[in-house]
Amino acid sequence: MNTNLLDIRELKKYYPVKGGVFRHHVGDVKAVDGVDLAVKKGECLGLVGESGCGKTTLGKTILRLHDSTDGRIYFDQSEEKIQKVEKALASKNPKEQEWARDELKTIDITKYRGKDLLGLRKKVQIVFQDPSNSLSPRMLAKNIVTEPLVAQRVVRGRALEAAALELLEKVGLGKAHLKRYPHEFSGGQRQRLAIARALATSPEFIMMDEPTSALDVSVQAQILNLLKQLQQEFNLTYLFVTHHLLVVKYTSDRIAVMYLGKIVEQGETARIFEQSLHPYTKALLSAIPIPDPYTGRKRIILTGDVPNPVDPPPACRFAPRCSYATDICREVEPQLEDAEDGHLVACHRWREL
Amino acid sequence: MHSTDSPVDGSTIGQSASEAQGETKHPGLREFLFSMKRLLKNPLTIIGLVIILFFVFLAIFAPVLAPPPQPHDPYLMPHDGWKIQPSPPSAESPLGTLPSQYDILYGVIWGTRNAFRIGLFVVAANLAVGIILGSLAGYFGGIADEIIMRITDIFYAIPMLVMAMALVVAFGRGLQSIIIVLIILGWPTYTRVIRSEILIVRDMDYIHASRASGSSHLRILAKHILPNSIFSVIIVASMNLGTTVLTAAALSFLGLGADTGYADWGQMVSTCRNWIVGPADNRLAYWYVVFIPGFVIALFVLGWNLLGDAIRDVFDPKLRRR
Amino acid sequence: MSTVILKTDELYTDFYTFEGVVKALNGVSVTVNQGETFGLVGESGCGKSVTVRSIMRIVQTPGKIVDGKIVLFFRDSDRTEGIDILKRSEAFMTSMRGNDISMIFQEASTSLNPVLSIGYQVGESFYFHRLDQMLEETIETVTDKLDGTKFFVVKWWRRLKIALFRRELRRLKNYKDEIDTIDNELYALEEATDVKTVRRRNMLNRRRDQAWKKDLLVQLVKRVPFLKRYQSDIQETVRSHVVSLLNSLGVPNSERCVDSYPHELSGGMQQRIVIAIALACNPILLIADEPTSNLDVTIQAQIVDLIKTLKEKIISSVLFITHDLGLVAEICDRTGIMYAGDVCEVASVKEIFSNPLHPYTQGLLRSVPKAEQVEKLSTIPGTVPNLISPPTGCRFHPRCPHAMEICVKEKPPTIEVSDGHSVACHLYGEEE
Repeated sequence: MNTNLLDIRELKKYYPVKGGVFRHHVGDVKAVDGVDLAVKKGECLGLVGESGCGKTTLGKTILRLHDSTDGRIYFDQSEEKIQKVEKALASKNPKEQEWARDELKTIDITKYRGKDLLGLRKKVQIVFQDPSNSLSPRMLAKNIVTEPLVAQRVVRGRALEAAALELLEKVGLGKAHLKRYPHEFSGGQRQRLAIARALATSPEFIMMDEPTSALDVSVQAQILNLLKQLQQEFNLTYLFVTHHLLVVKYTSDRIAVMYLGKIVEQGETARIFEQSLHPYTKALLSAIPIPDPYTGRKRIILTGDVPNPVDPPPACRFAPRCSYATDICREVEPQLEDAEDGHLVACHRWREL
Repeated sequence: MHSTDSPVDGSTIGQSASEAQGETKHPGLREFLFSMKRLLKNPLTIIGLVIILFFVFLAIFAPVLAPPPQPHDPYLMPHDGWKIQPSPPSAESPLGTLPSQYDILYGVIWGTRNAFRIGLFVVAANLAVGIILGSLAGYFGGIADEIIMRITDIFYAIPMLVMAMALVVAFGRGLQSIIIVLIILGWPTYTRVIRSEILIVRDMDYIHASRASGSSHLRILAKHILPNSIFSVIIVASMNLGTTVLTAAALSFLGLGADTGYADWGQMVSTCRNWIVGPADNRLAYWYVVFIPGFVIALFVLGWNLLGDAIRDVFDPKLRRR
Repeated sequence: MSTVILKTDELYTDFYTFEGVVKALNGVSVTVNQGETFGLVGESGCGKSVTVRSIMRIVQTPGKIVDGKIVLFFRDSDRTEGIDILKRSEAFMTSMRGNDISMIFQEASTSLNPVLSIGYQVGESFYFHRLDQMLEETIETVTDKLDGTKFFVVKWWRRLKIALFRRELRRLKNYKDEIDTIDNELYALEEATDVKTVRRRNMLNRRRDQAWKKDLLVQLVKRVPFLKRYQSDIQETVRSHVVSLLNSLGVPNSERCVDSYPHELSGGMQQRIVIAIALACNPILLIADEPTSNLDVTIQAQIVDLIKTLKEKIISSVLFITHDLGLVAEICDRTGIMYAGDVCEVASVKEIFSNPLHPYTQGLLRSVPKAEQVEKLSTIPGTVPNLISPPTGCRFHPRCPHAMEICVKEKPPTIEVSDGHSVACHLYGEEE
């Protein structure tokens, strides 16, 4: 058995850069560069980072919308099995490695094909950021929300309308909304349709890619409350990707902070907010505008721009912008260390800061 | 990211006007009626529509309006006599006659059928080839894209006249050769247009969502990509109907089309090559032989252009609700 | 007592669309004082962008300002009354935009022309509004160079340049004098409403539009292939101004930046360039239409910091539009909350957060996740109304938990509840 629903090991996603006269492989955009992440059953894990950090790519790779370059993702597998396979992979014995690679074909979702992949798609779903883009403009609402059922051949024909109605009621819409096109809905309602579509096949895991960033403030509150309610009602697991730290604080149990393709800090929400250890997390937290004019908070203003994942700095990715960077930061890449009770941080100097 | 503040886009603000109409009509019909209403507000659209309907009427009722003298082949124009010199409009031939006394009115009416035949065949074939190849190139990308694009490049390089002449040598004169030439030279444009639209639609989130739901590639292509990317091609196609006929007429004029006496507009102008300018004292003596078929061709092209413009104004999603 | 620099008075703007008339602004009255940052807050569709576009008179086409006044109180100390810019000519507005009032928009990447270099785009402000200053400086530099020349040809070439510059300068000065007389007369006739004065005002406005005449000789020389190089001197002057401006904005490598193109810069840098263009001529009022909405949090912090420092040095007042209440708490001194074309509440930032009076403000504050959010976020039921057929009376009444009968019938008047805190709600009307 496993408390982790999703277990990601050393995931890498590189986009090749072609250059030169013959368009040969010159370099890589290292969108996701060795990420280890685990999402527990029934929790909401918040993935935070700025643009270019790779959080959306990570999410889409989990959903097999992109194919990963390297690494393993285990979905709903027993813990012993994972450990056995990982040990075999790491060992020097070629026979063990071969056995491990065989096993991976059945348990690693990055290797799934055909029926396995279709089965995965039933259990893993996604809600996109911009509701005006994520709904096909020429389909009726009822067809949009039941599309997964039709594609998976679960339901067809007459039963579709009943299924659509059921899904719409789960998200707070009604019968009147069945036969309408997306452009006849407001932004918040469209996002509800997208959520209804994600719930169609009764998934276990839903990835939320900034679901409220394109919505108004008051609508955002409605959608966040809805997501919380649905999580409790259907026992779902969420991976909540966003750049808005206050939203992630409200919704998530644990938070992981990403920077330039790597996880720099990870831990429980309250912990991260009160005692953040990584300099980037500290800067991020101090940069959020807080709707309270009485906080006399000191802001850490970072110099420079968000860097480009094409040519990341060799050692610690954050060193060029970090005000605490020392020589070791520029030479050796920091690994994720356990500070206390599962609070992980990747920084050489976290003990002093 | 954040939705814009423009109040012009009424649909994002609460209940839209169409909510008032409720469930009474089928939504597809509702959208269609809305588009029709928009279409008919533009006077140019109405002109275009009238012109095309007029031609459709001529084509359908040709046997009634101009009874063919030889029932086995109505496209052979009747000629009242063998005089070479064209006769001006008179009681027997209201629009005059071509050299060798072929009746222009008859030619115009039956030529409408040929015009539609050419236009529809060529455009339909171009659409079919364009959609298939364009979807393959645009959606799958990679090496399929490269190959198909290079093939279209090759076809673009073929000069039209040379191709037409070659085909005439191979298949003989007639409208079939012209149709084949126009199909061969026309499909690259459609392929490119569809491919570029598909490249835009391919990265939209709803395609990703459909893949995440487990749809097969074919399903995504048929249900999502094509319905959303087909409109620019439809607009190109509708305008192309007119210009195809124009190009066919030009090829006929050069002698690569049907034989003399065949009811085709281009063919009619072709027989009058020697009679464009009249005798020294009355240069415009035979104006009707060139002007009337030419005017009919121009009117046909104009009608389709106006209609294509109007369709674009109504169906282009960006201009839709302005 | 703080001095007012901008006041809109019952502004009504309508959009004439295919589906009907969108009544975007329903009597908006906003006041901006000197030296303060005024935040205009609201959700999408509430009309905050339309308000500032009306102020700059750049409302998009199906829209028109149908009623109201926009009064500016600007520098000249002898002018105590304001100028109603809705009655002025387009030429007047052109000389104001970029010069006295500047605006920066949401997307920096679309605000910059991708085919023109940064130096050109920032220099445009200088060329358009400060041409006389540029010409004078150029004449000085060339005169200095003239003193050291030995070669005959070069000497005469420089003399020719100076002559051309002087000619242009003279014409510009004549134009400015004429404009000033027209403006003074317009100012004197500001308030009168009788037919004769209105006609005279219209005639003056028309004259102002047509006052600028180009000098034929200068135009000719500008087009002659070899001679037109004389303009490179002005370009040098402008370039040096641009470089110093970029330096003061904290742009690294400004010399190199001036020659590069917008796509070579990052988002934060582009937004800085846009701010540079806006501030080139030291405007009195800077209007910022959600400038940081598309930026990352850390870059947003940088830009906000920049605006705060610049406010002390270059600009005096900022009209900041946003939907993010956190930003409002950070930079603004006073705020106005808008809903569906109405201004609901105006107060200082501390007042708004500690004592919100309007039900919409209260709902908004409750639905924003805060730092120590424990209970569930509360939401405002319903959706933003359709502005083609807005609710009668108070536009918020369908969603208001305290709606009364009078709210459906009458639009609530704006009541000043305490110093600087005004509310447009019937709940407070009866406490008179």
